[in-house]
Amino acid sequence: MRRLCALCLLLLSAVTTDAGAMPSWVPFFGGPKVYREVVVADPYIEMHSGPGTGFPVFFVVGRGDNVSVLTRRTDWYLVREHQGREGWVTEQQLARTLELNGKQINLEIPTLENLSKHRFEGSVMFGDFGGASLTSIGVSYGFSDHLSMELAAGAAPGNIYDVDLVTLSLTHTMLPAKRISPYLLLGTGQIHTSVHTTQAQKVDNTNQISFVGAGVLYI
Amino acid sequence: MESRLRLFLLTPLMVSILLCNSGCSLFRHKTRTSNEPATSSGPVVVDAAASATTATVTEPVLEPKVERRKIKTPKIHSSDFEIGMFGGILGIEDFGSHSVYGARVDFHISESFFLQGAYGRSRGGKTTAESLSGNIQVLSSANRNYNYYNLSLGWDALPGEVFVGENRAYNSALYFIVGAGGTKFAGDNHFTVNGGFGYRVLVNNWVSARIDIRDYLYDTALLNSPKKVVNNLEATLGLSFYF
Repeated sequence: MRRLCALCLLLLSAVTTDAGAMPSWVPFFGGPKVYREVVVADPYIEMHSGPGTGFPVFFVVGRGDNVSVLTRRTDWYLVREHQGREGWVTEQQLARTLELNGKQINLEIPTLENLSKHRFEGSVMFGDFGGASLTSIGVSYGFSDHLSMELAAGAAPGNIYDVDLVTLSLTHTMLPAKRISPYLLLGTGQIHTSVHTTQAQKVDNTNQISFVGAGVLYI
Repeated sequence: MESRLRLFLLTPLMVSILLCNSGCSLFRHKTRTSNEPATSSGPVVVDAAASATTATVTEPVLEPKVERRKIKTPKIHSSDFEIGMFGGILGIEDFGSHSVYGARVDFHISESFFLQGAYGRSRGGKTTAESLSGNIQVLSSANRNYNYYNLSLGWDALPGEVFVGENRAYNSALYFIVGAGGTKFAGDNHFTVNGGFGYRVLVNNWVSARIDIRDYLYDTALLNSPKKVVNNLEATLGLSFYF
């Protein structure tokens, strides 16, 4: 009950925070307290009221002024100018601002060249598994540009049998620097099969599986 | 006589050596000043510097204890994820409408599209046949639990603003969503397709409130009855946080 009260207070504090200001719960998630300061180098940058092209421009910050970068959401950056106004700036505009030392800001925007440097990857899959519709989610870690390991869990409720899968697989990407790359995978896991309760005979068992596969990756 | 002659010969030699020395020094001075910025110290400074360098090699005069400050540029954190809870009413076909609650996680791929994973729970009531007859029980109590999960793709079709009075505006978006997942009800798992729409209003840049209308479709064959498609409509209110 105490935990529930604490959670409610936390949520309430988050909701009642002034519009735009950083809520008090952000530090619990490792949120930034010191923000990146940049200097506007273009004639001006436009601050939108929301992170999207559909949201109107409500303020502009002129060349030479400093802004703090609070967060990024998709291709938009929430910035705060020196008078405390907060607004969303496009990635293209922010990429042309300067650090306080005069160098151009490095936003570490993912490109094809540095895509192979990332290590974690999440996946969602829909497909067919022996006539049943399969839904699966997974997470993979790349040991190198070529080799990665994936842990995935899936469920395929069928007309007669329900199938649940947990798999661990190694994937070898042949051409990681290319836009199109073939890959090979080798894996193992467990498969749990159970019959619908509406069928007369009950089958409920767990088996180990091994599998090999191949595919083509398009980035 | 001989000593006078020696004095006579040695004097010009000494004078020539002295002149040569001073001439070479003057020449050296001029050469250095042509390469370096003009200073008044001239050869004396150069010599002193050279001697100081020699002295440093043997015995350091000053030991610099300067600790370099590590300047760490703050990272720009992303807030592409949204986590939230919801509650509302779910109509389970043949089993009445009952409360539903659950949790959702959204990942915003771009300004227009997002992926959503959701998990919800509800409980089926009595069918009309059970209510009328009184002693028929279609499902056991445990099998009336209704759990579902899904993975969906959403499209923020109409982003905009909601105006409350003259001075307040909140960002909002009307979105459409479609996805697939599973439903466990009546002891069976069913592959379930879902679709619907919702309206999200951002209280501030970090908190959003939303209304969702969703339809869940799956095949069922309860008690060996002919298979049929079930439509379960759901209306929920939710609150979520960006992180």
